[in-house]
Amino acid sequence: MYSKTLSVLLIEDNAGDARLIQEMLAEAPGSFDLLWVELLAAGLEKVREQRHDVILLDLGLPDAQGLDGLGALQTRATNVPIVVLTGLSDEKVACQAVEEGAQDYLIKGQIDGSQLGRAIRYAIGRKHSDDALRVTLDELEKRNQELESFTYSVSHDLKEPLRTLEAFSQFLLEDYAGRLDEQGKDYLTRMGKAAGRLKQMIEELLVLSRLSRHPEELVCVDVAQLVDDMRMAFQASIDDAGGRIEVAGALPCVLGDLARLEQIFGNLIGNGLKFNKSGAPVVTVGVRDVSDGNVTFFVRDNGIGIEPQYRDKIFGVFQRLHRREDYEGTGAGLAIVKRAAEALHGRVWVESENGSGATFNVTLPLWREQAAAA
Amino acid sequence: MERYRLLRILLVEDNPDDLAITRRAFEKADVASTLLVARDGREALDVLCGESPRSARPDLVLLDINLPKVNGFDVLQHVRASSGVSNVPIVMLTASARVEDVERSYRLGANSFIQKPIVFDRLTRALEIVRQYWFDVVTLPPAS
Repeated sequence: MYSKTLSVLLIEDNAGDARLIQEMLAEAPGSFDLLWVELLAAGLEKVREQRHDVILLDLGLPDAQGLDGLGALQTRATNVPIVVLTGLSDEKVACQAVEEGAQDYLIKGQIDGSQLGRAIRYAIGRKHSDDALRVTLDELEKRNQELESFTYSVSHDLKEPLRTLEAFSQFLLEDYAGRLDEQGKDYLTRMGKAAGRLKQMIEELLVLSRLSRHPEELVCVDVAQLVDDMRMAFQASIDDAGGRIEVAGALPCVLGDLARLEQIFGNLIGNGLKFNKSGAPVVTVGVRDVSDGNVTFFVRDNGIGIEPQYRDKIFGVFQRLHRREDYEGTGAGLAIVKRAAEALHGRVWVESENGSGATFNVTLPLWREQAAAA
Repeated sequence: MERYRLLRILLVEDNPDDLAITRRAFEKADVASTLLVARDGREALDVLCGESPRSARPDLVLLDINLPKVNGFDVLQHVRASSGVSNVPIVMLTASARVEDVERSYRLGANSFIQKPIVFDRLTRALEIVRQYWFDVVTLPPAS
């Protein structure tokens, strides 16, 4: 049934317990090659000399109490599964060992040979899949980074010929306008505008690719201050439209970084003001919920709203729901919001009744001190 | 009365489109100048620090950062360390305008910085900065 002999390293100071393990392995199905040492130091010596299929580690050794031995073994034999052995009274520590990366724990005196054999085989199998998963994750992470830097360099390189295109269509208009009829000028103007839009889109792709990464450093960002700054930034369009930005209640500090949070709140507030046909656009920012160290903000507007079937689509890159003549923009804003929120371990979603405004919700981690107070 | 001479400008640029764009900006700016062009960093160094200089020392260098053979930063650094030309006004040109590039340019001794494409108003702005900075060294002809 089991063709391979499994090498087992037993680190156990109690000779009686060691003998018991040896007897159980003898009656377990399959064949085991047991090497027994009494101290952790000797165990560490053995793992250096030879690779074992599994290590059985007693948690009460004279030279290593509790989880100390586990850590030492894990660093020296990274890919060998470890099963810890413990007495009935120490089950809690054994559970901790499993949390720290041991594959399993066994309570002495409560197992028989077939259970021990099974535990060993499961430990080996589980360790194998864990390691395979980690390799896959590392690979995935690497691919992701490659893709990001690819997006960045492609966007960057695309800008160069575009810049030229934009410049020369501008020069044609400036230098040769006299020799073109109205239609000729119209064509050139369209070309120039299209080049400008393309440039805008590439700029936004660059922002998207930059902000999708997790920030290098997370700091305390005061959302109240941020919204206040936004009010200044949007002052001109607020004045033009006779609108306002309101803050409902206190806004807490979050754990994040300024660049991403500016994009999140800037785009949501800007959209609320822009996609708005009410005589006086009002955008309200407030807190909807605080729980589990997270805060959920709402950004509510009295604008045109979003029909239910588009509520996911709007977060895609360059997704526009309206004609360019009606509302300017490339349609990258909400994609940037979504990626920026996710990069901060948050999320964003929308609720809306068509025609009666939209409410965007953003969940973000609270700044530590506020999370502790909540 | 002060006597004006043609401003000698060395443009170091490998991209032919950008070359055409910059030439046009000079025409529009109506700067009385002769434009000497180097197509890579080594050519620029030959002109500026070569053993037998190909022409008189320019009054201004417009230096692209991303250049074949020797890049703009290295040209800048080399010129600043060369006796005779070390104080020539240098304006860096770049497509990206990355903060790091701007900072590095000034650190290495650039006098100004323009983002490409070099359209009329960007050029005049940069020339004005350089003119103010180098008032005693470079005498620009009056704008017509």
